[in-house]
Amino acid sequence: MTAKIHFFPLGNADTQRIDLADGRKILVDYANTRNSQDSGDLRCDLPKELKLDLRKAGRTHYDAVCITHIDSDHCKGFGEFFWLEHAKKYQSDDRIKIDELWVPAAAVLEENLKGDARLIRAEARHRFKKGKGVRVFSRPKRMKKWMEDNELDYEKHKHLIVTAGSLVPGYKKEESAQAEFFVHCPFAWRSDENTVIDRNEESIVMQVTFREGGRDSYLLLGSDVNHDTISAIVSLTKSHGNEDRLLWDLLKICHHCSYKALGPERGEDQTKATPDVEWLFETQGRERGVMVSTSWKIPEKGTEDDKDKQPPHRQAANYYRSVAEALDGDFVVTMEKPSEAKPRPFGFKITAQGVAAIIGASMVSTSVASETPRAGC
Amino acid sequence: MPLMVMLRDDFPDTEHQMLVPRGHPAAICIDDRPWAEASLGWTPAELVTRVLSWFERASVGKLHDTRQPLDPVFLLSEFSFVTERSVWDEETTEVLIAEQEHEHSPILRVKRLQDCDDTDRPRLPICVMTYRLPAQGVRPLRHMPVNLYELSTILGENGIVLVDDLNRLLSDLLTDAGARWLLNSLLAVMVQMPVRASPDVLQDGADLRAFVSERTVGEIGVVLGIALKDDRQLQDGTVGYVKHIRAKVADASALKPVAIECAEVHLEFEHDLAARLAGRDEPDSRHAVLIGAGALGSALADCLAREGRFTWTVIDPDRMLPHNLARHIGHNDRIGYHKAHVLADHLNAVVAEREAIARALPNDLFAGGEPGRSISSAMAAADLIVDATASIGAARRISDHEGPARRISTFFNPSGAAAVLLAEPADRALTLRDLEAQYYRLVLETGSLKSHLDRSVETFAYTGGCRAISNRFPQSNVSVLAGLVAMKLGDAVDQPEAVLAVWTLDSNGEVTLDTAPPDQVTRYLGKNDWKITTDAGFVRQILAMRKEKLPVETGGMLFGVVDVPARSICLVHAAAAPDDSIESIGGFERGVRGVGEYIDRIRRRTSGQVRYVGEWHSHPPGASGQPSPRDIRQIDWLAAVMEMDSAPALMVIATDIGIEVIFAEQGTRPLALTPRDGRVARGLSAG
Repeated sequence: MTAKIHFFPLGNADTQRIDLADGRKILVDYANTRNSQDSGDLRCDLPKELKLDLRKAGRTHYDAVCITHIDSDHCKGFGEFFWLEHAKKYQSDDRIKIDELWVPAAAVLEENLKGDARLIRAEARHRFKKGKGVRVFSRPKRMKKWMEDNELDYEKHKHLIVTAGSLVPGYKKEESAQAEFFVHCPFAWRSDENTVIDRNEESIVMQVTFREGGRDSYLLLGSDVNHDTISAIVSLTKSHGNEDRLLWDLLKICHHCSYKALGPERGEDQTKATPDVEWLFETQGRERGVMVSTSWKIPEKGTEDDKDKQPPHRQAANYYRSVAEALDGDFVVTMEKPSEAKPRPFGFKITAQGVAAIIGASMVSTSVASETPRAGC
Repeated sequence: MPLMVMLRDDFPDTEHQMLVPRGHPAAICIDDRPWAEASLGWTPAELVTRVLSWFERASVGKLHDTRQPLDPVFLLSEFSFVTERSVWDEETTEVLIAEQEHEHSPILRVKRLQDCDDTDRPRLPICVMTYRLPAQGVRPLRHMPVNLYELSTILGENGIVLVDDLNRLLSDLLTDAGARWLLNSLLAVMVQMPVRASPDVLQDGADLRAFVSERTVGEIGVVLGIALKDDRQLQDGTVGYVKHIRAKVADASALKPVAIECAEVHLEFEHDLAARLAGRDEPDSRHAVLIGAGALGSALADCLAREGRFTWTVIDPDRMLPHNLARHIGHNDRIGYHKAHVLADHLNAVVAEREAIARALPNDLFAGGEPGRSISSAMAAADLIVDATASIGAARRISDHEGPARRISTFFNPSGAAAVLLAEPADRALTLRDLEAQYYRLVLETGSLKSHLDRSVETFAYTGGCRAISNRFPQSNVSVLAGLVAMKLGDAVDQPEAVLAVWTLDSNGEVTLDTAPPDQVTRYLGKNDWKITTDAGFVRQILAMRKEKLPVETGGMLFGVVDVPARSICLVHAAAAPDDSIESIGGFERGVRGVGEYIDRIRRRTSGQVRYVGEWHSHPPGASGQPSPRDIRQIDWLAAVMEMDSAPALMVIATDIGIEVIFAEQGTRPLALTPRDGRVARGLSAG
């Protein structure tokens, strides 16, 4: 089995599914944004898609679910979809289990939460206290204080904390997983200076390295960080001589194609990227690299949408398009693929020749394999 | 070979004596082997044993066991003759001559004088008279006649007056300037005598012998006082004869000085002899249209024609190219000719019927206009149509052609290691299309045929043909497999049942035969002329899966051969429920696990011919096959999916008594189809 990465048309929201070579399944974010009451809603039925995939694989759980940060566009519907350990209420048979929950430290520490964000915090805290089934990304000092407040033994629990600049335990590209996860963000040092948590800038940024047939391919998952954080990641990575950890063949564009992930100014027709961001895209992007914007369709110039403050921004998209052209690569938008009228989930597979789009072989067989027709009298 | 001579004068007439001249002591035949072979083990003791064995068998009348041949002929002429069967069948009044096939060849072919080209006078002509003695009431030849008188005496016992016939012949020749040259030829009197041999010998109960005179016809005329020698020599140096004006025909005893030698007579390799040599009693004179004169077609026709099968129309628009010689009966000197002509000429060169047994039609099966009409009328007039085109499209077109002829299709698999024979039943209740579908089921369900249709074999860069044309495999495969196909084809057309057979040759030379008695089909007519076919094997498969799961409902995917232009779907295979399906009393939800892979596997294993066509499910005991509202929703979904393949959706519901076939196209109401008579069945309303 070769590793696969799937994207889902969810509007401005994130969910990526990573299927590893050893059969393990990892979900990065879960945002069920579709309005099931609205038949014209073009966003996909995420729980249905995911359950169908699990059913085909004969599974009822994910090996890891990573919530990069607890904004709604990254965790909407978490409490309806998953089997949660912290309360009986969330333990019906049709729920999907999580072997290991990955969250940024902010998700554990933040106060005054509601809805899915609160449930994620409760679940993460519950698992942390139990000492298993969770990885908290970074902010060891703040976590240490929280542990003291909660009378938890730091030494006994520190293995649950993954700091920036290290690999997530349990995944080695040299072993059956054929993959490793390098954590770039959130940073350890910065969080301690802030008292107010900025979720976006403290979200999880990772580079995944896949090894197939002796060749390494890279996936960069940027969550919703802006250009400042990207610059910080770039300079820190360079200072450690870890430039390879920012190579990418496939990149999830940060923050739904917002210009803020590129530079401070939106620009007239094309956002100008800061030098570090430019380096990340233009130098670290490998030949035929593909960038995926997890967003609504890119607005046409002069339309109402084009004037909107909210991403996706046409100017940012134009920058990415120019990068795609230079790399002989591609820029795709989840809500535009294969067509704006009928967006569908799509995926990439890791091959010995690099990252390749998964192409449906037969329309009928694809349809038949993705439905569970019911009959009966 | 030692000769065993009986010195007793009154040695009785028995079988298995050599034919000897009158007065020569009787000679018994104790060994029919050639001396080169017999000498290897020859001992005096064996000689005695053989003599004793002869007498022992003679005393109980068992000499004539079937292994023994015709009486060997003693004192044979150097000549032997080859005749058409018809020479003996009719009361021929034509003058026959025998001529050498090649210079110095002692084998002479008997022809009608009118068939000889006057300018190209035959080599060593011999004038031939034929007699057929009645089968009944004639005693076998006891002694070998040594002159024409003795022969005339033997014939006279059967009411034939040889002298009269000679008189008539001589008169004709002496007065016919065009035939007068024959007076310088020798005379051969050929006689068909009753058998002494057992009935299963080759010549159909006929013992054919020729007696060749040592004198010319003209000299015999002189002896009989009919002709006079003309002292003037003819231009070519031969002697001339004139008619004796006051002829007084001498009696037969005048023929005593005309010595004769006994000669062998062989029948031409006509249909009749071909059939007999192949072990059958009668030739098969049905007319076969062979479409495809390639490796298999040519090898097959070669086999069957040599076995006395069929007259042939050979259809193929292709011309011979050098690479064809690797696996074709054609020769290098026919490169550039139509294969149809190459094969038809070959068959005519093998089987020596007076009327050519094969004709060529070098046209494309799919051609329009006059070429297409000529093929169509050939097919309409045929008793059998044999498809050896290696093209699925051609086989189906042949299947669909109007007309009563039984159809047969044969082809190699892509690797050339297997051959397939599909033969319709005589009543055409199953067509080649039906058999094609059942062939795919055999391939799907037979473990050893797993890679039967694999296309991984290295293909010679010439064609991408569907059923292996120019793949790299040896002629030895063609010989073996074409032989097996020819054998089974011959059997198939001699009985009414359908045949489905696959022979696979492995690298050690072992052949595996996979065969299944073809199942009866049920035909349905859907909307817009869609033709749906199921067969008993398919229904059995579904009912067995239903029974196994009762009382819960089950189901799965349906697979079939879809021909969109012909609007035909043959259902081939029903899959079991995927293991994540939900099977319960009152409902079935078909799972998805492994579904995509299963569809791909079926496609791959059948080289893309068998596709997903719909869904089936079972209804519980006592329930009808009427689709429920939920079923109707499912078929609506299916219709939308199948629209992508320009095909209708099919749903099959299995009940206690059989299956119900539901048909739907997107945007139309589903129909429950009624078998066979073509009535479009009742519409169903969406629940």
